Amino acid sequence: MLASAERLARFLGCFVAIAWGAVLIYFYESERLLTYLTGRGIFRELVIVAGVLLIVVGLFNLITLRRVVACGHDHGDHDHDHAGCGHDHAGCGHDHGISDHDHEKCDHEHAHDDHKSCDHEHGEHDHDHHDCGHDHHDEDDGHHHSFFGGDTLGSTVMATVLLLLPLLFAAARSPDAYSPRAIANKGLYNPNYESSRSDISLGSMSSRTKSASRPTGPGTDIPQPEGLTMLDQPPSWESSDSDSTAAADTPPAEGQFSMEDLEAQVDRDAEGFFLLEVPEIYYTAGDKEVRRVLEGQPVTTIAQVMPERLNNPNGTRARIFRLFIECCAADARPLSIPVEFGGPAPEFQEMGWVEVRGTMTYKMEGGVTVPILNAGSMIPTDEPDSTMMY
Amino acid sequence: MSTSPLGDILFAFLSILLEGAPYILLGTLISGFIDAYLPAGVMEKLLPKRVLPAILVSGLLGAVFPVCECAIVPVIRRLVQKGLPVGCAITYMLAAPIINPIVVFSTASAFSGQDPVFMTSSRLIMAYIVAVVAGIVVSRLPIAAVLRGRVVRDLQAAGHSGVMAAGNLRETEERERVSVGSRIRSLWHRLGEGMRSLSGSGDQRLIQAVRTAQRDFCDTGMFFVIGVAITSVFNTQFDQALLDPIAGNDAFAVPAMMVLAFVLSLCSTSDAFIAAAMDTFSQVAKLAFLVFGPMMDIKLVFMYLAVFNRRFVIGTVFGLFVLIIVLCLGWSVANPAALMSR
Repeated sequence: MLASAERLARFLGCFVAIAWGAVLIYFYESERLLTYLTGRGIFRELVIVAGVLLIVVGLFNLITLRRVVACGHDHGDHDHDHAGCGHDHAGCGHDHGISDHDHEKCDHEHAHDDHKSCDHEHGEHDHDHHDCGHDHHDEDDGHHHSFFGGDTLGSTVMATVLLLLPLLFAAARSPDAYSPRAIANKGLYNPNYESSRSDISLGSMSSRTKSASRPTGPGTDIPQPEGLTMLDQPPSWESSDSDSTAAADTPPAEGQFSMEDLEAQVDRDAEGFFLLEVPEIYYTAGDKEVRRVLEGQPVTTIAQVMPERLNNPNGTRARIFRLFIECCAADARPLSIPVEFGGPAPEFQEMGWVEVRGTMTYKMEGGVTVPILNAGSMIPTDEPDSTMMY
Repeated sequence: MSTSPLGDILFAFLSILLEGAPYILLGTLISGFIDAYLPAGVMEKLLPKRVLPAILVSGLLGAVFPVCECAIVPVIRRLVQKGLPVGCAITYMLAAPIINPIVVFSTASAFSGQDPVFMTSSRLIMAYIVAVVAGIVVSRLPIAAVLRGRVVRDLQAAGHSGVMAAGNLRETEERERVSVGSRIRSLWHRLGEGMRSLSGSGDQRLIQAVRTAQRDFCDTGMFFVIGVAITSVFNTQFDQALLDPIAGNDAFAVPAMMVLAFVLSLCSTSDAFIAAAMDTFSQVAKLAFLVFGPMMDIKLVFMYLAVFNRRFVIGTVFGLFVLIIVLCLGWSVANPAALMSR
């Protein structure tokens, strides 16, 4: 490929590097990055580091664009620089030839490293020698074929477009969030309450303090049917009536998790409701000890709300969820629990943010223990600072 | 707030790009510096001379040189150009994204409560077997059948025309047995020479390194973008619950999980958590997901195409697929409990 075409390819490459670097830095600085990458680990920091490095690489290559580099890499074990050929190859006891380095021509192998007849070692050559004794070529000649800077200008231009267009288009047009359809596709209605995770324990995710945002919308308190109190629930599958009411005030003696543990790990808000996040509640269903303690406890949480499609024949339920990101939004999963209103579910905006107050209970449904929040109230609220959970 | 399918795709697309770009940059910076600074022939000295031990060692190199799947492709290409036998390169490439400390840790964390020791060790062992087998197979193939046309031409121009087998270490098997001491001395001598020749043109080497890094970034990045775009469609547009009916039957579940791993293109540090959550699937099916995924997925296929020729890549997809099915069969025979979903 012509040197000038190589240079053009390199110039376009600088453009790509700088553009990618700029996008990365922009996402980091604008904080749009927050919904894309988890806060755990170094993923976000890597973005700003890589962004800066890409700009440095692009600028460096831009500045040195016209520099001709004479084989800046080594050619095996030659301890000389080909730009000024430290020795004359013809002076060896054998002929290298002008053609491709055909080792069959020599009467000894070049594959090994010990040449008895030469006073230098050939090792692995990275290119063919042509006529030695002069500056061979622009370093790219024949060596580093790549698709980018490949054989034709057309392929280079196409590659540049491919590297710039999708990135910039996505950066400009991405909504930074998923639609309800994507969230359903990712398993909103496919919860698996039997799984457990030690790193999402009660109180580990809750970033809400006691001065949590107050509800902003008109209250949609659920009027309680007369005679039905929060604690007077249908018996849960594993306990009798006495158990479910007793759980709230009997100091538990057995098990690894106790009420004291709950009090120690989880904050309460001003009205005494435990502040929990939906992912935390989600993973309690798989832990018998925690269920025993949480049963009947007052809990409040902020989440997004969607219509309920599971076990909801009378329309008395909604489903609330938080999106949980493992590394990046592509692996995001909605962790959700049902909210039971006891009567017709109130109106709500799909995907809206709500603050729910109620009582935790666990019921056996479809052969699985399901964590259900018996709601006293569900009120529209502000979007939290962090829409994703990590 | 309702966004369109395109919005979902763009969101997923951009998130993988933002996550993966730093790692690709890291890999291409390494490859750039390998190209400019690594004296050729050093690797040949460092690895065992015989093919099989060299491949066995290559499979473990990820523990020492951990590289994630996004970063590894440009590195591999440069290493091959510097003399790493292709068989060893394949083994390292397939093994390193799994057999490294980070993935060990994340796998064990993800499966805490679900037999973490069994799942983590099984993942490592199965991945090692697959990588070694692949390396051995590749070492018996001619280079032209494995590498992309351009890469082969580069190698031939560099003087490897006498070497037709990808396991070109075989040539050196015929060498007389050299004692360890003299081998080390020879290596030291070679490194010293290499370093001396480097200092004289430090400026140029740096430029060469950075230019190569940029070019590799663009090369790899292009394929990455294509792969991620396709993955993003699968990632957001299809209901993952559709797989549930298949989950119960392992004859279908194992291939299905591999197909899922292929289309989701998750990175190996996080895929364990996704697999752990899919509780309708058996442990063996999850193993298939965890071993196949880091070795072969949509974005990797495209990135591999920058180094390997198309037929080889397709062959590898199916080869790995079949091999892992066979290994899963073996696993389930040896561990009947692993067949049951939790």
